[in-house]
Amino acid sequence: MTREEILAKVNEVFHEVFDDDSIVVVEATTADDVEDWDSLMHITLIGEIEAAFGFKFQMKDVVGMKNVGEMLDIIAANI
Amino acid sequence: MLFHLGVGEHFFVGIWYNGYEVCAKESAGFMGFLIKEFAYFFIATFLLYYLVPKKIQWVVLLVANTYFYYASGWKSFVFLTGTILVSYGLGLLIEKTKKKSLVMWGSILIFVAMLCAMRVLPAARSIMPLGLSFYSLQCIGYMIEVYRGSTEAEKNPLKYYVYISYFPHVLQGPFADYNELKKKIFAPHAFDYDKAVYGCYRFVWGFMKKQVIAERIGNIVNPIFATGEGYYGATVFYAMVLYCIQLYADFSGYMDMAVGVSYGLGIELQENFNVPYRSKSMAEFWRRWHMSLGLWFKNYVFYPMLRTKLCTSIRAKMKAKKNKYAMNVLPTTIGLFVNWTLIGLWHGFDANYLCYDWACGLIIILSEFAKPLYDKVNKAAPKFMQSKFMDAVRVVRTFILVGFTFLLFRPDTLAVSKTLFVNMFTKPGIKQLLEYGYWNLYDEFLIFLPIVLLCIVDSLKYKGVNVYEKVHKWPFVIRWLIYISALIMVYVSKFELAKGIFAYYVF
Repeated sequence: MTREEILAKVNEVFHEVFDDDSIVVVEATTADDVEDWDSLMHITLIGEIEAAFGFKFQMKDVVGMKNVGEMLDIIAANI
Repeated sequence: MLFHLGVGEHFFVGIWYNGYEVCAKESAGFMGFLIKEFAYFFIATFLLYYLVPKKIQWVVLLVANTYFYYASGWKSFVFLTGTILVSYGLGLLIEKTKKKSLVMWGSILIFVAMLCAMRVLPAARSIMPLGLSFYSLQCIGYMIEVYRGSTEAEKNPLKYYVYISYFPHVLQGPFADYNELKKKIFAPHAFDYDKAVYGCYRFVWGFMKKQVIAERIGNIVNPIFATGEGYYGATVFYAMVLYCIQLYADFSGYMDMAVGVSYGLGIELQENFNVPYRSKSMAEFWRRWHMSLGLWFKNYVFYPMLRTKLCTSIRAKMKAKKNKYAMNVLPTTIGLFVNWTLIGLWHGFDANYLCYDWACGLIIILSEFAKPLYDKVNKAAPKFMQSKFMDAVRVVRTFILVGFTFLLFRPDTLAVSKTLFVNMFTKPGIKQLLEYGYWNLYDEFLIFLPIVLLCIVDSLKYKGVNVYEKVHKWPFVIRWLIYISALIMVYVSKFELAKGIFAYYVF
């Protein structure tokens, strides 16, 4: 899977989780840029990404990822 | 930190110490490390820090931390050193062993048992060291990070000692992540005039908040919170509002001083407050208030709780039933309940602390449950709901809700809280408020301008303005007029006020 393909799939997960098809996340996107992406929704998002890509995030990644780019790095390293 | 302000001429006030954490609320047992002594301590540390070769600056901190904490009493010092050595050893063990999970849980259990024993056993209470609740969480956080593999166990026990016992944060935080703080503490620091000046500003501003606002508000509200008897309606509401300001000025004032002192040494600490009373919801309030505590519990309790089998299986079941609402809300409720219960127990084993933290958690949980309703209303009248007026309503509503929760936090017992709540809604108390306000006119007059100043500074901060930078660029004469005004305000305060302790010092 290329990085672009991963990003496209991640965007689909964002649409599903936040019920908003207008969301477009890019590598630099952070939680501050997406309305409703707070600590309460973060774990739901993580769970859905795990389901979509078929792997488990480590706790240090769940806590430590700073933006979507870092999320893509972790996904790419695990699929 | 407890700044003893009765000493007088010394503006660059000092650090508290001595006495035992459990006694702090009664302020019994405090001996106090005088302002003058802290000034000597800090100036000596400051000079040595910048005079020695940069490679060994951390050794100066090691000596300073040791002296600072030792001054609080040898028992506390021995306890701190023992705690640090145990967590240092456990960190190494977690890294080396194959049974990481077992050792990590065992380590957490040891620390939790120690905290519980210190709070419950009368014999232990007499040796309870200052800041135990804070540095214990730092130790636990460090061990979890080692377990997760996000940090390597520190091999040098002295460097680990410096991290935990770093004097600006050892007593009340802010909590600092080991990876973050070690980069700053062990990095070489050349003297930076701008940083030193900024540190001074922060320290003086924090001191003003503590001494001029928080202490004097204490004069006004303490009689009302003592028993709650005989005060009604508007008077209780007035005390509640003032206490919101007092606690904020007190706790954030301490943080300003801690951050300022650390800045003087070139070491940036994490901010702990970000204009909390501009929050539009309780959840937002807790992202702006005591931020490092919230972050600690989020990273080590809330997120792991939501990743447990219980929560993931609930989420999976609700997803299978295509119930998206329950899929989010149910695990979140469980996570928030556990999170707030533990924060309550961390605050203390008193019923009022637990009720206070449950109340905070409950408000956040209820607003999660009500989210679909909010969304419907937002969609029905988007312009109105997004108007500045509605934002202001949300800010006021959140402030009042926070105030109600503080009515559980501030009194010594739940019975007093109950009396205050009942009295608030049984009689209007307007005439009583006018009389009470009249008798406290002098204190009210003296806090009025500082509170207005605090509001202005916070408003500017909320808009992203760096107030300190602005002030620094002002003409010399104006800046010195401000310093002299600050000096006068502090001086006026010091004559009458009791020696204050910081409200969060009891934890």
